[in-house]
Amino acid sequence: MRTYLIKRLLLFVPTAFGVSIFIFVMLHTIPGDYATALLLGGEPGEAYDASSEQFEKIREQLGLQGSLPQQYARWLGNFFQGDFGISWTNRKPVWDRMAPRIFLSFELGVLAVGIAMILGTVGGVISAVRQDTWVDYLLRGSSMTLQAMPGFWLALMVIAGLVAIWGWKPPIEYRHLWDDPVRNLSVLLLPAFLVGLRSSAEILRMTRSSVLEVLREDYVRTAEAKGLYRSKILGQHVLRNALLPVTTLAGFEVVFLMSGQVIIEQVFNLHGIGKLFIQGVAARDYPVVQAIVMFIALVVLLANLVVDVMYAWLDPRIRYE
Amino acid sequence: MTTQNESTSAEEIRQNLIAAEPPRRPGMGKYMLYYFRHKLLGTVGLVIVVVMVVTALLADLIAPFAYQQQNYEDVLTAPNFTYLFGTDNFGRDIFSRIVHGARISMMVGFLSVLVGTGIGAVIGLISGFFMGKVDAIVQRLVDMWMSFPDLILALTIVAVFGNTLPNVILAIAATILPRGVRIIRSATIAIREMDYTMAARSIGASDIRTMTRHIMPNTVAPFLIIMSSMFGTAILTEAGLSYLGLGISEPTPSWGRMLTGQAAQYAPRAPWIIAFPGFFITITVMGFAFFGDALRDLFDPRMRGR
Repeated sequence: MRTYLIKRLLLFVPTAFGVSIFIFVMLHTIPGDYATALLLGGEPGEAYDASSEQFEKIREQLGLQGSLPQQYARWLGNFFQGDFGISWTNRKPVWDRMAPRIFLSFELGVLAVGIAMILGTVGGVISAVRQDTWVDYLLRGSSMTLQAMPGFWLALMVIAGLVAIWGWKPPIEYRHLWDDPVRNLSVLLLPAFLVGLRSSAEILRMTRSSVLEVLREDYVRTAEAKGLYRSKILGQHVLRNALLPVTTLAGFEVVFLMSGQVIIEQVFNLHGIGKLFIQGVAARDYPVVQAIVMFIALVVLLANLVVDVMYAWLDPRIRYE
Repeated sequence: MTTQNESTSAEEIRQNLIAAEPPRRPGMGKYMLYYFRHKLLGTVGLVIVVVMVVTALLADLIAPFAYQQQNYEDVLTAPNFTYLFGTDNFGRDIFSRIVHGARISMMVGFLSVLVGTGIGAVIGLISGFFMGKVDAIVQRLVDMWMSFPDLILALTIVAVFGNTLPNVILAIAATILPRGVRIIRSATIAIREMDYTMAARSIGASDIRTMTRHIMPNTVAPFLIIMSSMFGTAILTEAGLSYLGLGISEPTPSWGRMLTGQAAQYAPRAPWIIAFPGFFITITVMGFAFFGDALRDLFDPRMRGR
């Protein structure tokens, strides 16, 4: 287990560096002083005097002085000290804009992953046990439909339905979980459910095929032959073996869920990281975009790390490989 | 005891071979018939795909109204025979807008999938063919690439380059590219172990020739499959970008953009405003998914029933 852990951690560090270079390069493919020109109100490509003192000053403020590798080193160094740069739109530190939003997005994400895992595994097991009955067809059909649906459309339809039928009003005011848990959950539960529901489709599919595979194993037949109750076979022999590979999916799920979450924050007007990201993209506020992309990539990498470690802990075959 | 074979001379065998009819390949029609009969969902998918492509191509003929035409007397009309899918808050015919929107979805979907899987396939081919260091580096890069959620990668690219048509296509293509690399790489690795590849190399075929003449033609099936199944993902990503107001900035309506802005406010009173565009996104994505699954079953019997 220890060697496995060390190996896995050693893989994490270069990947994180690679990702940071990737992001930096991507966001610096903008033609050199495009940003400066934009800031001064000129159109890109318009002639301007790039050597003047004023430009030097602005470039310094934007962190654009020096060569690219120098800029990269400075950015990364600052990043790990919690200095994410200055937002170009309102000249405030990016971190100050992100910090109050992180908890909301984190809570939403955790709720959504939890809901997705529960719905997906329960649905998948039912679908496999009742294979080729109407329950199975219904579950598979709806999960296929969910996968083809844009998540934001589902949310819009549900909101419209709730408003039209019950005159429901989307709660606007968000309260922190510790201050007012009821209020907090009343705001976050519906969006989390919708994101989770859509993500559960893939988990359902995986769980179903995994359970079906295990049901055909010899040890299950042995258990049946010796006359165990079906519920006991399911709980003790099938589920423990079938759900193991499904845990690896949780890592992918985090990646997939992030896209859904960014949009759902927009639909429900939740002031989370995703909404800030979209504001940043719309205003082409590069420090904000860069910091959030880096932040999200790190969360994804960390989530994958945790899942891998958990999987190795659950399944001895992995760690001795 | 002598059998017929043993007594046959080499010349006779040659003559027999020349006289024998070559094995006939079943025609296209037979394939199609088999497909329709055995792939119910696949057929449904194919029908949807064809209908959508035709709609996109003939949008001007099918749509009864111009997509920007505002009929102020008929604002927020429920679906009827004049306005099949109703009208929106500007009195624009939703059916006509959806028909025109098919154009954007099909075009962006097709081009981004073509670019994404195309470039991905070339990289995957090289990575799988040479293995070793090249492969290790490419695979690490693909891993990193895939740690970006689709929409976030696409949004970042749009943020850097702006939301013009080519940039949106490139942004969506970028989300598809790593999957193309993965699939074509594994196909290449399987094919390079085949006897005919070995034979080609042993008679001195160059790397390039082996790749282009012997391996590439055999990756066409996985290439088509991934194109078809990624098409749906591309349409969904495009819809997401458009919904966020960061898709293509063109006058032509796109399905995603029909759901944005005031549409949500009017939705409780006039649900048809948002119901139809979203329904068409869903149906189209499903159509391509079904079609892709059926293709995969036909081309790759090992995956059947998965």
